[in-house]
Amino acid sequence: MTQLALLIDLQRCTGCRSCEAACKLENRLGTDVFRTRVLWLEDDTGPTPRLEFVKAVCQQCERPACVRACPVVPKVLHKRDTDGIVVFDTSRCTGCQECVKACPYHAISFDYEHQHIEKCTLCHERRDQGLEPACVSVCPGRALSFGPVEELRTRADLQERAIRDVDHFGLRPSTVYLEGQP
Amino acid sequence: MTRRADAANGSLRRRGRALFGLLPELAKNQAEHPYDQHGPRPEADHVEPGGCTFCFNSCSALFHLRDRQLVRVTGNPADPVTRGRVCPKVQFLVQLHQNKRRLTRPLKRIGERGEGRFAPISWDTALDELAEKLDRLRREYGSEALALFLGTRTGALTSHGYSQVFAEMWGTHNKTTTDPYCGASGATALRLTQGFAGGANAFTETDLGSATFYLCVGENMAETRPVYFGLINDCRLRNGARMVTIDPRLSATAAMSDEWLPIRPGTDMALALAMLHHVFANDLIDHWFCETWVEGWQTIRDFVLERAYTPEWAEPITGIPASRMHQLAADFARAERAVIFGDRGLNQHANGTQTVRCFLMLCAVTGQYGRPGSGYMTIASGIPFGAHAPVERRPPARPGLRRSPTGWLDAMLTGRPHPLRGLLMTANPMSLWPDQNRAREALRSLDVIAHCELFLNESSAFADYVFPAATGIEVGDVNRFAEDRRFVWIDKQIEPPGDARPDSHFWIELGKRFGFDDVLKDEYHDPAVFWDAMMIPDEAVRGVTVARMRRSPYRWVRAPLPTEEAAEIETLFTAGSTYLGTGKRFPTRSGKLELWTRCLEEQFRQVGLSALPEFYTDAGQLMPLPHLEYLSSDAEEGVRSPFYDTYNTRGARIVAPEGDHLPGAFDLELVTGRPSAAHFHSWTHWLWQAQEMWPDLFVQIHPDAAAPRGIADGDRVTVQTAHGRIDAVAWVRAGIRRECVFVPIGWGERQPFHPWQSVNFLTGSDERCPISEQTNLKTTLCRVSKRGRGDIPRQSSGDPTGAA
Repeated sequence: MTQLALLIDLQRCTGCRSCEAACKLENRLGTDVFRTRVLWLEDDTGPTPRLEFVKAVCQQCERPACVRACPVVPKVLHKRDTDGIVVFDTSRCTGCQECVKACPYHAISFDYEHQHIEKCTLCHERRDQGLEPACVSVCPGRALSFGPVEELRTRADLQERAIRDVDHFGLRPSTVYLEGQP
Repeated sequence: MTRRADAANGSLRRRGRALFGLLPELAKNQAEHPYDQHGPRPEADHVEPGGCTFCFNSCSALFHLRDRQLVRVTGNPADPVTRGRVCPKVQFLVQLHQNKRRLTRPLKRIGERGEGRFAPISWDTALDELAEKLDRLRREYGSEALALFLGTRTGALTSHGYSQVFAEMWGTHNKTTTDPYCGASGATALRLTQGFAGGANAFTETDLGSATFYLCVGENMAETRPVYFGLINDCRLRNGARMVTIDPRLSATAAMSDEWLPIRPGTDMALALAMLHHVFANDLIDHWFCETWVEGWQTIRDFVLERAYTPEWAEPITGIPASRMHQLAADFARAERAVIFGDRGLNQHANGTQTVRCFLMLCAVTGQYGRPGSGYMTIASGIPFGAHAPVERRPPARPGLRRSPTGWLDAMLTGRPHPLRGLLMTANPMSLWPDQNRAREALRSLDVIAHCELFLNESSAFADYVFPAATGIEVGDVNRFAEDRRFVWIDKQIEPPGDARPDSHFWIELGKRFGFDDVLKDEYHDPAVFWDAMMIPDEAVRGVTVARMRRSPYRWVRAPLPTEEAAEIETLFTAGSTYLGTGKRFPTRSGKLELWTRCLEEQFRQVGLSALPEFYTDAGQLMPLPHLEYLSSDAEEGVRSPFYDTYNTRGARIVAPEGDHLPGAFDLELVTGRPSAAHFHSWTHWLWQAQEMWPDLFVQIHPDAAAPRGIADGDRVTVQTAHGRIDAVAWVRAGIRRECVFVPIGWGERQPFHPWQSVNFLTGSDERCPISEQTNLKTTLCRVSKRGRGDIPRQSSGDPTGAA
């Protein structure tokens, strides 16, 4: 399996939320439903206050908590063998939201109007047409890229960019966050 | 709190919002979330290049259409500047063109002015009635009693074309755009210095992307020009260039920079002078460039040194350590290629023009000028384009009262120096104009007001007639003008909703009723015909024809372009080049950069000032600093502006601060500005997703200022100044000067999702730069207090017409 993933460059994300707009337009999401959100994280603890923008999105974990939490049989969510993307089937979703609670990255939202979950699938329909995920295609900051996770990590090494460890929960997330300003 | 509890709580919050918050409102208005439908998105049958019309960035775009309906908007990958990148606003165009709240028929006021009650009326009847009222106004008070205000929403064809011809044929100079609130100071300073009122550089990797040092001052590019900032930041990181941002708050731009230096609002001029002092005192100037290409640099040097405008002098004024200013000046002067990005943070002050001049002086004396990757960039267009009526068809008219509409209020309220009784307006002055309490009183007093707009907004409520406008691909338009001199052509693709019509329809058809139709011809209903025939008479834009723009796969072309076949120029004023037919490198009188000349000195003397950069700032400061005292009020004629000769202005003199300067009741500095990349002025507030991203009006306040006032993050607070008071939500964050609070522009009390009063209830109308007429919107003393328990009263947007 070639695990596909997003790369998010924290030196280049300006917090503009263009990716959120592209995502909703592509996936036809209404208010209060998100497949990705950009967080403005403020750190006031040091001598100089800092502001950092972090795109919160599905980590396409190796051991996805959402899949494990889903009580429906067969499961609404599953990790695809081919590309490692965690996909979901809205027609089977009962609306229990166990997966929403289980995901520590807050990457799954719930569509109350249509009673099913929504999460990032790296725009698999666009990729079938040979296109990049919608968010990657619009990003004004050129902060996003997409590809096999090993390639993304190798590229980071070659550019001597540090990768931020976001695996606080032992789920082995795939999304690659390049460290921001030192 | 454990992670799980936190997540559950978050889920509860979300559920609560869905049950009691926005969702029921939206459920009633399915059109508000047009994407939110089951089944696949309709695939486009046609993709047409064009551009976004929201802001002045002039980003190209691809419009995806199906059955002449817009289904999505993306960037244009063929565009060498944007490379297909777009900000959120471009994508919101779908929500603009498919919006249930759009005005679809003309309305006539039936309630009191400001109340917002209307009845439907036909276009023809409304225009007939309006024409009759305007005619009466002209007979009673003269043609100058009519004013025209063209907001940003209107588009360049209308603001610089149709309405300009109408105003000239009607006989009034009381016509203006948003420029006096936006780019005026920068444009004026650039024109005085380099003879061209815009930036000379381009957003390309080879020009602005190639700098080795970036100074962003009063500039939040990351949020106001997301795509260009993305390009610059990407180049900067790849090239290892340094970026320093000077701003009272830790803006997105400051957050991306290598260093953020918080500054006291309105004192950027002191910073520039201190940097100049360091450069002169340490002989860091580019002697060859100064001797060859700079006029009056010795005069400026002698003045700055004699006044001892040292970094040590500037430290208590700006709040920036002197050592940092020394270093900044040295880094800037020694950089191989250095760029200053300066914007509304410099422009919107009583010292706006002088501040920008000082930064231009810094670029000039260090030789950071007229080279790729070196120079001063700001949102302004120096390219002279626009339509004019034939001279013989322009009746004589008195000079405009003031270049800024802020200076019209006395004439509206008191009839002095002459009555101003009618207003034709677009966009939303009742959110944008400063001193809203007075501005609204002024509008209430008028005899006739007409409003062309997309949505029934705060301004519509004051209008006698509201005309439903069309925009962008509903019309066919030229996308304003980018600061790097690009014009983007947008073809008409879809029909406007209902009986909405292009702004051009209003001006041409109203003009007919006064016999203007031999100039504002019927054939000019076609924007392409009007553009080619009327908008590009100047040599600088003669080649910017619709055919030339259409020939480009990304629909834009960069001016100056004297012929259709001419080559585009990436960087202006480079060594060995001459500007158009002037035969000079810089299109000034001397052909050099003019920092000080006798002619400049004479011009400045006419408004009571000197072309020498004597430091002053806005009057409302927490420490005693020199500021302006105006020599007349707006109710007096004033003097003819030597800088904008169709307008009068007020003279002023610099006065020393009073000895007993004490903060008094107002103990915080209020700074206003753009909120985010998602919003542009007020019209994005009718788009659900922009409001979802940035819903409520907020006040950024430092924890050290919030704590003693008992204010916690998210609290409802009241902000009060000498001019008015509003409520907002506190955003407590350390990324702002301790003495400073920031409240964004663009909100209004009639907006559909999160109505709040405009921040301009807090700003004043008196303080303006005597050179550019730009209003101070960035330094107003205020106080902030926690609101008591209970809901904030919000005026309902309601359904004011039963018709709209």
